[in-house]
Amino acid sequence: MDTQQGDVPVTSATAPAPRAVPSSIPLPALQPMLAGMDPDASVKLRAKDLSIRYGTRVAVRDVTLDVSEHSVMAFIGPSGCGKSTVLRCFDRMNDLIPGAVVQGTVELDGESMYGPGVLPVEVRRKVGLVFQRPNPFPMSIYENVAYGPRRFGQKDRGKLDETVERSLRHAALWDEVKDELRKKSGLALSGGQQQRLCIARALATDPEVILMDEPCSALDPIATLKIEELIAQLKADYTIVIVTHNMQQAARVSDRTAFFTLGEDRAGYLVELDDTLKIFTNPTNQLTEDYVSGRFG
Amino acid sequence: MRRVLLADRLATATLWALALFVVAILVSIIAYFVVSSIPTFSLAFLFSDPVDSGIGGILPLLWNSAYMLVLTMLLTIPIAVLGGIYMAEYAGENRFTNAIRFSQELISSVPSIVVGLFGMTLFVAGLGWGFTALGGALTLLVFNLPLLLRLSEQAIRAVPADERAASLALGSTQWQTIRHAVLPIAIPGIVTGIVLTAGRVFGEAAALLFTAGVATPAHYDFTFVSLDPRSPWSPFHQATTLSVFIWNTNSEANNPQHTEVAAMSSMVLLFLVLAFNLSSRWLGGALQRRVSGL
Repeated sequence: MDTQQGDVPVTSATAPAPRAVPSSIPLPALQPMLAGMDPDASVKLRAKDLSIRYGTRVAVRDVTLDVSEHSVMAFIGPSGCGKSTVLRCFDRMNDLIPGAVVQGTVELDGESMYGPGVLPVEVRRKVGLVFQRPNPFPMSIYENVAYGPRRFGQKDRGKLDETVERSLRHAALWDEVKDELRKKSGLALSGGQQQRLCIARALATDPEVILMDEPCSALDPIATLKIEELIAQLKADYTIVIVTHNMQQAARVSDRTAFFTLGEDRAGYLVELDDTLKIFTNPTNQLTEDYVSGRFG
Repeated sequence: MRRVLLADRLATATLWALALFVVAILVSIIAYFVVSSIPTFSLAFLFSDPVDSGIGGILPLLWNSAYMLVLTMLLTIPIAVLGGIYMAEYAGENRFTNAIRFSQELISSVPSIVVGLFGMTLFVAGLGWGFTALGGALTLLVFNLPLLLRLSEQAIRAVPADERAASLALGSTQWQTIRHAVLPIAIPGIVTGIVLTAGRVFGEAAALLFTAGVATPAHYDFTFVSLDPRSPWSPFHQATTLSVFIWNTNSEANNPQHTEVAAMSSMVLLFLVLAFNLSSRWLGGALQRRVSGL
């Protein structure tokens, strides 16, 4: 199955990797194999020796991991192990926390996200973030989705309409809200709808990567299921990293799983990263085994 | 269990009574002035000039109150709101901002008569302007600015961090985030602040006695639009406001009907403040609907 390299022009680490995958290959079948085989073939996100400090306290240390394009990676681990902190490094959201220091390298398409001259605003346009608690703006559904494009200077009414519809369709929310786009506040939706609205809002900025920070922890099981189905669909067009407390969720949605835990020094670190199936059935590390089997955490 | 329920009912009843008491005070004040105005009040009172003896009217004083309000708020709102944004979003906590906050509190608690004397020393005598609307407005700025700045800062700070994070995560700059995500949510709080400070402009007498003037204007020629101090449009005209007029009419008591004139003026002032409060709230709501696209 290495033919993938022949079909897709695999690029050097500096050039942006191609987003399109030949349509002849069934995508869902391909993803796990792609992710499992040759992670270097299309690395979208890469962290190398990544450590994050808050003042003098080290929150996470020495994380090295690659996320393949068009794959879903899940971050699991006990509370406080730094999985959300690592996730937010991929969007430069840690910059907002006073005293946070990021060391090591983080790359998007082989280019440093923290290099001199790289603006956080530019990074955040390529990377979308979905928060733990649904946080739509107190505006109409339409204005919520149009928020990003408007800030990028899009004024054309027709193009905005188009983006809003496409994003809402992509987030599987269009049919539920299409009649009340401008009349209904984003806050008037149910929790699950709000979270899909937040996903649509992120998609409207046309990102390449979507980060999700426990996106279902405030939702009921049915709403959770909808988000999980959505993740499976979005994988075709985006690279997704999801932090979750729910191990079944990690097993259901992700191709690869990274297990983090807290070290003796109270700093989080990456214990094991492997195909999701392997992590949940036959992990290499005893700590992972204990965690996924429920003996710890 | 019974005692807990009893305590609960007692507490509820007490809070109800207190709330009712506050409303009763307001209603009785309004009722008092309305009742005492009814025998002499006519719409002509609003549209005629004051007279030395008899009922007359309050047109120039209404004009001056409105003029002072607009002038003062034009000066206050931009500085206070931008300052509030700076204090809430950019300044952070350090000696400099602590000094600013300390001065804000200090100035707010200085008696207005003292601020008035300061204004007189600076604008009336120092700059040689005499009694002017501008001098009065700048004097009012001394305590209106810190108040509105503080209230704007609080309104902006009260916006949940989630909203800022959501906007920044969408690739917006900090200013875009403030302008499009934070301010729309803070608008009701800022409008409340504006209403409070504007109420002080309507109501303030002590600080304006020595700065905007106390002389009762005889007649205004509204067709005379000029910077000349004789024009009612000029920021340099002597601008005796309605509250100053009420104080003056009552304290000098030269007019045999001063009681009636003062009561009617007070009623008009009350309704003016009430109308202003309601309309600003409506305006704030409309503004928020506009920015939220609903």
